Amino acid sequence: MNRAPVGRVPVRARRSTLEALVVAAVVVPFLALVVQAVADRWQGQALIPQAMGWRGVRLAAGDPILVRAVGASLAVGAVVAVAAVVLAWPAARYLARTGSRAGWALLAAPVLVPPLVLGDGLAAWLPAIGLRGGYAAIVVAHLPASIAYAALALAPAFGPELDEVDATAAVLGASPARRLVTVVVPAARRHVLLALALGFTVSWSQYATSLTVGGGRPMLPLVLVPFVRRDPQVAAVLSLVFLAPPVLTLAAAARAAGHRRARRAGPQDEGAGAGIGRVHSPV
Amino acid sequence: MPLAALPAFLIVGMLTAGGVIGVVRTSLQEGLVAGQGMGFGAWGRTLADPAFRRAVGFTLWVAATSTAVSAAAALALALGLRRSCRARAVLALPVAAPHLVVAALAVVWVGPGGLVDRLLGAAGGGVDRTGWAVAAVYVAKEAPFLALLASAALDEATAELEATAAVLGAGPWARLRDVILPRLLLPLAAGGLVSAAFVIGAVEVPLLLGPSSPRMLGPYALDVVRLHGPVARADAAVAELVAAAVMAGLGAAAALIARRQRRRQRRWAGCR
Repeated sequence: MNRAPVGRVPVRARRSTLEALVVAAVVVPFLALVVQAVADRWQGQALIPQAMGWRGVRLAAGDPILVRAVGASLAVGAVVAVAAVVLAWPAARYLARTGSRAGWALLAAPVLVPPLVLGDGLAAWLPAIGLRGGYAAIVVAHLPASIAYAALALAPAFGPELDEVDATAAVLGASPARRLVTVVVPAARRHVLLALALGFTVSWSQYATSLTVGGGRPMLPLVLVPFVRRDPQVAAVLSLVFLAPPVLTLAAAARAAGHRRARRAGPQDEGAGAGIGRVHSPV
Repeated sequence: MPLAALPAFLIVGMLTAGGVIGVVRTSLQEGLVAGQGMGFGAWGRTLADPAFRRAVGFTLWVAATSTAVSAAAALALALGLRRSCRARAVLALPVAAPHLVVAALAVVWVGPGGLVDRLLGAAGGGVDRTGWAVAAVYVAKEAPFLALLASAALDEATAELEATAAVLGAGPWARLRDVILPRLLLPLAAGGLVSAAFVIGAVEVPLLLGPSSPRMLGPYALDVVRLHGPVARADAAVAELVAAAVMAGLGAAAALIARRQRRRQRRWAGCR
């Protein structure tokens, strides 16, 4: 019989303690934002707020610039995400099949250029093509990094399973466009959703490019910065709004990863045909 | 390459190259209006500026410190949480959180009059000239990222190697030194270089939490234009290009390390 030596903490207990510590170290700091967001009065050396309330939410929701900034960030993020996925789809397919390192390096380039350089450089010549300091310019400036991340999320979808369902649909007489819309994209929908979420999140988080090409258009990261020092309660409310899409993206990524693991385990459990059936099955 | 794949590569390539070329052109501009004259005046002025030199040194210091601490923390986290999927999932939260949110969080916790000051009963911190608050934000963001990278390297092949080493009589320390660390060093080094590159190109976190002197390169470039007006855009462009050059160098080094890692993995796969 296995027994832990006397005086030593069993490995399982040690691991659980460490796990709990890590979860606490990650989650507790974020809880401070929630408390700060509802702390109407939190002064002096007090460890807990003297008055709780919705002042921060009321101020944030009642400030037309902040509301416009959140709306603009949502709209720009949505447009960038859709454009990035549409553009990245064929590129990811090509990269997944060839593994071209030069292709991946090119897509990674905007991630390794300071956002300030990208923004300032684009601000210097975007007016020449009629994009002077507007939301269209911001969309263009956000695209390179979003395409890179969207391709990264889409590439794993292009495996033998997707080829198989595509080939089956082709044998059954479906045209390439119909196969793409009714078979291939639905089969890869988790990756598509993840790519949309990543593309959106990358655009949503951009500070320097929005600052430099936006010509003063309010975007959420830009309006958040002054509040961090001026009004921490409103800053906390805005931070929580800012945090929501990345957290949802994370949940989507975890779900996609779980599905990939299930698919990999599928053929062993249910025979070789199980993978295809599962691609079509609801979540 | 199929035609359909071209637009993505063209858009990414043209916008990125266009951005860099635009900043190079701005850095060579001698006046407010394009075409007024080109030269290296801004380069000479900026490279001779003591504030710029301090900004370069300070940026490298913050990048090196935060990356070194992140790598050490990541190593400990990866080893401690090897078989814990739950903890790894939680570690992804700070990785996904925007830098600005983590900076806002840092203000709540460690800013003047923040929670740490309240816990310690302190009156409020003094001026931070060491950049430790900026470094702390990057450690909070990059340590989990590097830990996830390192965890991915601690795969079944590593477990098999460890088991073999144990059968051959290697103790825990020998297994750590001779089996685990060699598997982790390359991914950690490549990830660390990418993290350092991000810190060097950063703007919003040092703007919020960094000292007003010395500045990091991003805020330095913004300050130059804020203080001296549009005429100083060329000087700001020089600072941005220096940051870009360092980032590109680090990115290239990371790519080389990643290539070496792939070769090593192929060699190991061949051995098994």
